[in-house]
Amino acid sequence: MSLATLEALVRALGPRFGVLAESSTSQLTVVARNGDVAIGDLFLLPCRRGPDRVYVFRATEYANILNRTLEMSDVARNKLTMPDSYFAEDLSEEQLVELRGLVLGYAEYVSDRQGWSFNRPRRLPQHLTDVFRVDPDRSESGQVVFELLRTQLGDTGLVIGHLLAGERPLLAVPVRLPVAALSHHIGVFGRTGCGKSNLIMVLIDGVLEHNRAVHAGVTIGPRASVFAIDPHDEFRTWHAAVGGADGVRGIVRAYSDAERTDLVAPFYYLTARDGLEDPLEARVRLSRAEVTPDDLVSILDFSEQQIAFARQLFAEHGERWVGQLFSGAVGGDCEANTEYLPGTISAVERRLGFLTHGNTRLVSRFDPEMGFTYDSLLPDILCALERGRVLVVDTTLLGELEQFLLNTVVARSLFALRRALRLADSADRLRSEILVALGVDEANGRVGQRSLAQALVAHLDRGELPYLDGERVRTPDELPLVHILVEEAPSVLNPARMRFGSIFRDISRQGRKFGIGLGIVSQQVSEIDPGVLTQLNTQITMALGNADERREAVRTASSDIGGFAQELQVLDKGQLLLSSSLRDIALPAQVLDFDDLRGTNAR
Amino acid sequence: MKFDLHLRSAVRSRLAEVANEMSAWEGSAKLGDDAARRLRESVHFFEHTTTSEALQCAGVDGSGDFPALAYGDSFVYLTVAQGSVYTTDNVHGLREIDLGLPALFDAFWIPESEQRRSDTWNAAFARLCGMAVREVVSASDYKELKQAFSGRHTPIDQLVEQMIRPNASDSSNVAIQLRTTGELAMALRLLRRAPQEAGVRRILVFDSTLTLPLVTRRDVSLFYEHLKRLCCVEARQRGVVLVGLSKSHGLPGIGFIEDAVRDVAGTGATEAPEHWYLKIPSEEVEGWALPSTEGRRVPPAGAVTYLVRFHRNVPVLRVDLDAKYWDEHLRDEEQVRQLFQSLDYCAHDQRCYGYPYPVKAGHDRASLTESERVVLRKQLIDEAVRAGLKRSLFRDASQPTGH
Repeated sequence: MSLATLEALVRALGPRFGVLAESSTSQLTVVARNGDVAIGDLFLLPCRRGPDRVYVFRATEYANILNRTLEMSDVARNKLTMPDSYFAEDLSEEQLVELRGLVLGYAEYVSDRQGWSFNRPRRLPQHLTDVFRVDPDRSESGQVVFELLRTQLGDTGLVIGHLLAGERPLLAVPVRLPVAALSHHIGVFGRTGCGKSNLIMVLIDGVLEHNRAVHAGVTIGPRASVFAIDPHDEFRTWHAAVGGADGVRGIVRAYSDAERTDLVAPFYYLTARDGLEDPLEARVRLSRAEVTPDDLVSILDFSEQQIAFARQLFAEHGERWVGQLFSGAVGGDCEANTEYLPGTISAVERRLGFLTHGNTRLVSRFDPEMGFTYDSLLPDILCALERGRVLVVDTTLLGELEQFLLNTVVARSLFALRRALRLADSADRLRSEILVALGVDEANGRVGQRSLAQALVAHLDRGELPYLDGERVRTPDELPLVHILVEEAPSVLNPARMRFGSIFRDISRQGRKFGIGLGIVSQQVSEIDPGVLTQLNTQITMALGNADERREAVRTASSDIGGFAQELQVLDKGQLLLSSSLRDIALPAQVLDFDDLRGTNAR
Repeated sequence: MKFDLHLRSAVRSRLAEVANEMSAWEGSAKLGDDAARRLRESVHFFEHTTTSEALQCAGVDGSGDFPALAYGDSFVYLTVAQGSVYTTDNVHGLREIDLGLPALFDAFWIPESEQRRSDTWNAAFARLCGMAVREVVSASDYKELKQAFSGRHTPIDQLVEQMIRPNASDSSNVAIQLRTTGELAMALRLLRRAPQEAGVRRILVFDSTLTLPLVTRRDVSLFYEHLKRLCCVEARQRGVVLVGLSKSHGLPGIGFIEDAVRDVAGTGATEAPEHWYLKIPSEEVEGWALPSTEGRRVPPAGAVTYLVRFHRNVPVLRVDLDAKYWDEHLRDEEQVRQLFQSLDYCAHDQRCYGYPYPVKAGHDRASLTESERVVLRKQLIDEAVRAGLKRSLFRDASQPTGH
């Protein structure tokens, strides 16, 4: 079906639904037939003021009106007081609806591109323009909308759902998240039960598909990596246990051996459990040698004195600072004027209590002199992320602090590596920059995170950390886009935590230039640090718990979603509003159901 | 101008004379004892009707802009007619049925030319009815009624030729002709289009009477008289009750009639009984007549007339029915009662409680608002200018000179 002309579009839209009444640049009013209208329904207004254009209008409120008869309230009064009276149902003439809403923009046909180009709403349709409803039951309507919004929807990217027209999705209009958005920061906000997990599952699936397409040469561009904390251990098997779709496990099992090697190995699933079911699963483990005071400051409350003490200890002992603290081998150095009160020391020790042996399943002891050598999966995790992998981390057996620490250490280490990479102009320089980035300065006696640094350099030399192309140092642009999902984000991204500096504040400000994006998943918008919120390029807003959160979501969105305030109130499970600085307009969408996507029906 | 007309004695005495004449006129309709007794016997009551058997009720009404514009010595008249059909519905009371019948619209241009007038009118009648004038005259039973009431047979061609076709500037007459023709033409379309279902009572109500003003004249007739009777013929053939419903019964002494109804109902003098009807008697059928109908053709030729009151808030209404249909289907009082109960059921929409809603719907849709008139006039002038006429020579006929 060719939709290159206004006439063809109007033909495809079916019968006229209403007529434009009052209009201003802020709001349109449409008088329409007495149809079953919903907030969020889409309407198209073909117009010939200037070149042929089609305006896209979205209803934000509507009211029943009567055509020529009494006021509605009079009729209601009569219905109540007149014995046995009724209100006859007329076909269309008498009972009408008055729609109010926003012009999302207008599409203009561009002959050079042989397609419609969508523009922001800087113009108005002409007087009394005919209005056509986008009927989700008519596939032609969906095709028209797709053609008109094509420049906004994009032809590539991760399909997360379909454009919503009212409460129903237009199956012909896929809504995509540009792959580039993964290296920017994404906020996913929604109250419990609104479908966030399904959305993340769909995103993970999209990333896996993307990597597969890049691997097969179908898609040009970098691969993408996702480090996804899974507090409920659901992404691996999803609903397989109850007959639904299998999760990442099912997707990976469907891969060929070569694909598993190139796209999944060494692992896709990390867990704190000891019993592993598959060679591509691994026991997640960090080492005390990888924990820095900055990591802890990012997840725990510290006083300034405590921070200063921890940093001093790290400067002195490097990767062994935690062991030193727990062994009690710390004290004041009067000559260096670094004496700390016993209370400060014990307070820091108390705060690090979750890292003591027996209290953690995540962090291994590190004390080579006692025989506890460096034992960590972190170098492999970092290498995997740099090779375009999706890593799902089951944190059900980890405490909340351990979960946050894992997220923080991975994010901070990766960030440090990417900075080092950007600084390096040769292979040797790269090796030394990695050491510097991890605080190792042998010449000046600084130990830093020596074990991690050495392990990473070893991985680099073996080609597992893909920063070198022969002797040429790759740029971050050649590496996968890395997205780190931060679950329960208010716990680590709240303003109090940001006060003394957090690794996430640095990543939120600078991560984009290193190809590292944060995915901030939260039930609340208001609890997230404003500085972090301003850095969000993409905001995915699902059903929120109350009006304050909705207001906050509107306020912080990177593109203006003020016109959708009413719609945010009625978002159903699995429905979202996607606003992104990469798009001109916000798009409401119904998220794909992963069970439908990969479940029995899909197969 | 200083307004002191009402203070002048000559004016005041003339007004008093008129008032006395009116009082005498009203008094002439006073019922004698015998008439009052008979009248009381003919009053029938029916139940307030909250449910209805399967029913289909259509309503039509006509409107227009008479004239919309003047250009030289010619005039443009716009005619609009609308009809709607409703069926009983448990949820909504009445629910409209889509017959796919568009509104009837006609723009009628007529110059002050004796030679062209007849053809112009014939064309307009044909456009509105979808039938040639001769066909309408031929198919209608008006000619038989005319023969009966005028005492002379008039051939069809002569009826067509001697039909009254008003001058272009005789806007009152033109308006009556066009409005009524439009309304009846819509009724004809509805009669032919409405679905026939077994066991469903079908009623078509139009906002007028079955009066035939010139039926007693030997020579002349009005087109709408033929058309009115054609509707009766078509309705009979299709088993539809054609109801002419008029809010103005046009009878003097209605107060005496209402007093009689009150007597029967046993209500107080200030109360208005509702849910009653009575048949206007005629010498030919009942052997007696109301004093108020003396010198008037009520019931009209070929029709029977009832007075009915559905609800106290709405005045007494006049209902005209085709006499032949009445004779065949409504002689039994129970049948008449059921008809009025059906109409009562249709009169329970809140928008016009006490008046059948389908007629109100037809009226609302046919009525042109001032803005609609303005838009249509503008469109017409624009088209005329495109056709080479001068915009400045068009006159809004409603404001020719400002006085």
